Amino acid sequence: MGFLLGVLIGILLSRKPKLSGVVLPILSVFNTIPGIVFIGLLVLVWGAQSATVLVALGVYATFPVLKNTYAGLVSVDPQYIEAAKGCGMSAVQSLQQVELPLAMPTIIGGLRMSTVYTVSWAVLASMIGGGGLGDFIYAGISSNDNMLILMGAIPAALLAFVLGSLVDALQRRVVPKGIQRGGSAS
Amino acid sequence: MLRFEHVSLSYGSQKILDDLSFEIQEGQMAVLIGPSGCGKTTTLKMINRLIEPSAGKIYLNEEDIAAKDKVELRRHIGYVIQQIGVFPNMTVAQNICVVPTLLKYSKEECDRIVHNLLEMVNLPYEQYAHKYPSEMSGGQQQRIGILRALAASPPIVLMDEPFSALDPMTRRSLQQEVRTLQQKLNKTFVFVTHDMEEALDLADVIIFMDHGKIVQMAPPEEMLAHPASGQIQDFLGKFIDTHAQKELTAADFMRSGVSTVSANRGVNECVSKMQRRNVDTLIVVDDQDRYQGTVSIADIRLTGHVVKTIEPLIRCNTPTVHTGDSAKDCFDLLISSGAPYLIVLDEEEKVDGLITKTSMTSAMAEQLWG
Repeated sequence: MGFLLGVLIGILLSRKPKLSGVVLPILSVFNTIPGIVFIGLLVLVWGAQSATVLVALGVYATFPVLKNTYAGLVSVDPQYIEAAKGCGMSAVQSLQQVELPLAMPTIIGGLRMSTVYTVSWAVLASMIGGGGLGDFIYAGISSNDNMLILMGAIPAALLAFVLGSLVDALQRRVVPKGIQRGGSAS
Repeated sequence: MLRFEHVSLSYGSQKILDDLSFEIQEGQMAVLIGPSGCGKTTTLKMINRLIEPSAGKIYLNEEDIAAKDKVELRRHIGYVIQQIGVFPNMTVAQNICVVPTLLKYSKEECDRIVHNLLEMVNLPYEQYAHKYPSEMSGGQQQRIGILRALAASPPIVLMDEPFSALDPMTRRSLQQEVRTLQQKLNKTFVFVTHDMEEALDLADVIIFMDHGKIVQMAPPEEMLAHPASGQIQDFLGKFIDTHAQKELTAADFMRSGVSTVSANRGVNECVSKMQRRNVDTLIVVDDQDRYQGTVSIADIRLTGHVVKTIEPLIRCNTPTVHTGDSAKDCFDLLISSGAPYLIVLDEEEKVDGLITKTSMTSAMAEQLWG
């Protein structure tokens, strides 16, 4: 969800340099607000339910993807854009066939970042009553029950691991062969 | 084929292009050249509407390009850029077929095109078609860039300093290839460069620009022979001498300041003149300075005691040439006749100079080394 939204807004911003000049600074200010505070605020407004947490996490997942999509598209070497244009590609075709594939490593880097954030905040969300795996850990810490902590920690770690592998798999699929090189986190 | 009519471009008060009008014929290789900032690349990019003129019209095959859809227009114009611009996310085959794919050619058709084109530049299909640009050298990448421009067989191909990023060796071989391709396919090429050597080698017609205007538009030979301005001459630099050699005439090769003697002079006077000048032959002229022949010391010794003047001793066996004769013919004559020198006459048959082997050699050396 957050990923798709991020990519879309990122593309939009990279097309409109004026708009991005205004929007990006605002976004990065928002980004520095700790996720937990944002979740807390939403809980105040909507009450403590898992939907609230999901929305908050979704919004936060958007930021890294958005920024990286923007950065990736803006940093595509102008020669390729000129070549695409000169070959008679329309703006959409150029984006789809040339610019997005070339920006893909950076976009995936953003996705990886947002995955990491999301998992860690999902665990922390329980602190303010959002529910989830964090409940186990929190309860374990307060009752000094190691088993309970592990019951929360191990699945959380697994979740992070599985999601990480998914991102890797995705990266192998969507990053064009011609530009693949080692790790491409940004 | 391609015609510019009073095309101008200005940004604010700054004039980039100033009333350009020219026409390029079908099948020609036209080279745009000039100092940086002269507007040559801008001119090129107007042809596929990457830049729009602020005034004037451009016609391609008698059609006003401003009336056509930009994207559609570009699909029918080949375009090769300086930085190569081969898409790194696509294989060689995909890169070549970018335009055919955009034009919705069938897959078989695309395959056939890739086969044909790779063959034309001697890159075996099996080995290269599925490589990515990052696995190839710069020269090979630019070959692919050129093939990409040719793939949909557009009637006109634009090249924007396509070889300036390559090393000299690769550049040479690619220039050759482009020339061969152009002749084989009989397409119109418009080529931008700042390298005069490249222009002279490739062009059917050179368009020299400066400050957004055409200074001279001429075939290379004509530009070399008659550069329109000192600036073009500077650009032509070292090429001007070597290429102009065929223009040299006898006048360039002769030694002037030859001493002559009138036919009515006495024998003794001639002998003393010969002694003074340390020569064995004198050139004889009549009272209007017209060439009569030569008189040699040997003849004077033999029969000098029976004649008073040198007139009866004149011989006409020394070959003569005229000042306007080509230097090469003079050279051939000098070698084949076995004569020690040639006598150069002007239009009025007056003696203008001598071509000796020494004067020839020093003139050649001067042409060669300046």
